[in-house]
Amino acid sequence: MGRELSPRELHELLGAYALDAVDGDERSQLEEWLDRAPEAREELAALQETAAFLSHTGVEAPPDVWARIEEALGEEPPPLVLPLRRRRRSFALRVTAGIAAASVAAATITAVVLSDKMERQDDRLAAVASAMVRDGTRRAALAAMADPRSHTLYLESSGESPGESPGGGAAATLVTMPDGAGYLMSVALPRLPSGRTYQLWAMTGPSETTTMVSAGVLGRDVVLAAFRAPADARGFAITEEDASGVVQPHGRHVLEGVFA
Amino acid sequence: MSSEDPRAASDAQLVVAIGRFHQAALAEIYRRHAGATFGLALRILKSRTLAEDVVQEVFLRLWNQPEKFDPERGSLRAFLLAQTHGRSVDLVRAESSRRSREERDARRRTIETYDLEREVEQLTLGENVRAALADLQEPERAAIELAYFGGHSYREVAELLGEPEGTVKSRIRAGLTRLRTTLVASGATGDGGPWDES
Repeated sequence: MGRELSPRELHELLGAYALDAVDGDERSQLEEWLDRAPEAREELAALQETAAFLSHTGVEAPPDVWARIEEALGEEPPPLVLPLRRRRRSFALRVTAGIAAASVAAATITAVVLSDKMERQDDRLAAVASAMVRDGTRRAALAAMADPRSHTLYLESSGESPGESPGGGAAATLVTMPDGAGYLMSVALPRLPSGRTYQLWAMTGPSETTTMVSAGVLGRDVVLAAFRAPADARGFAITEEDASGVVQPHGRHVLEGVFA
Repeated sequence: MSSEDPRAASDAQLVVAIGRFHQAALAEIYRRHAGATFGLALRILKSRTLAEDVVQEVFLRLWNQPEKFDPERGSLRAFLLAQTHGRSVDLVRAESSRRSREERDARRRTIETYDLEREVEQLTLGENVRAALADLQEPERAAIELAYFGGHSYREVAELLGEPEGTVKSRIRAGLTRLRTTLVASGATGDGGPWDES
């Protein structure tokens, strides 16, 4: 990893980034910075729109390209193929038993195909919806960050942990509002194995007798999350726990931070 | 999206419709943006066959993974062009790795003598876009051209032009900013870009 770039240097890279002309570590640093710099993201979007003008050649895509795309769409959705083949085998067996039975099998195939297609459509819609929810959460988080009443806390590795960054820098950013609403963002933690989860905790009470209050089970692969926590929380920690989550933290503290 | 009239739908609505497997939505997005994506791919790859392959790949990727489009990060057109640019540059770099040093030198000489004015003349750009491009300073245009259409990183552009990396970085940003300012002032674009036809 190269040296850490200053915000000014990162800002200067926006033009080159808009043209897809930034590589390697600089690109990674810039993208991390963009996650927590809404104004820079706005400027980048404007620069990318401008770059789009450079492609405004007035050229029309050849019509046969769409024909090729359409042909490929005709093969969609691919997941339908497997259950269909599986059912075809049972269909072939039933043909020997008689036309009536075959009709039943055909109906079964149709039902399976439709069911599978619906499931896949549900998956796609869920993915699109999830992206939109994520966008909404991100927007809310950025708005909270910009709110003068908010408090921002950087959660850092509490020792030997997979989220520890080489420079010992923040591995997550947390924003809280006076009403207890909060957002966890820019989380740099590895995906956990099946059966495990990250869990967020609010630290309340004096430091000598800290009480840990769960602020939410975060899942195996957390990037962004909204949560509610006691308004008087003086710090937060993330632990690794069993997938169902726990009432009191049992696992190690992966990240933690205390308000100054 | 109104399934009866996809042309009245916004790009975002069309992407949601793609999530429901509406081919008409993809067809409408293709109608709106395929020309630009093909133009960019052709400009970078200089091969109609490869450019067509890239366009096909980009639109099929949108069909298969519509959730990858993040409206907060910019317009659909910018997203599609970014995908097109990335894939085209990958192909150029794969091709470049097979070239001999002599061929690379020859290409460099070609780039150094690149005549942007002549190229712009060949493009059927709108009057405002042409004016905005003309308003750029030559060093800014050269840096932008090499980065965007040459598929070079800004460090490579600096090497090609024999300029400090910081200078090239600044010129690219300043050039794009100037281009945008001119386009906004001329009414060619607003904050959201001219592409969404809804």
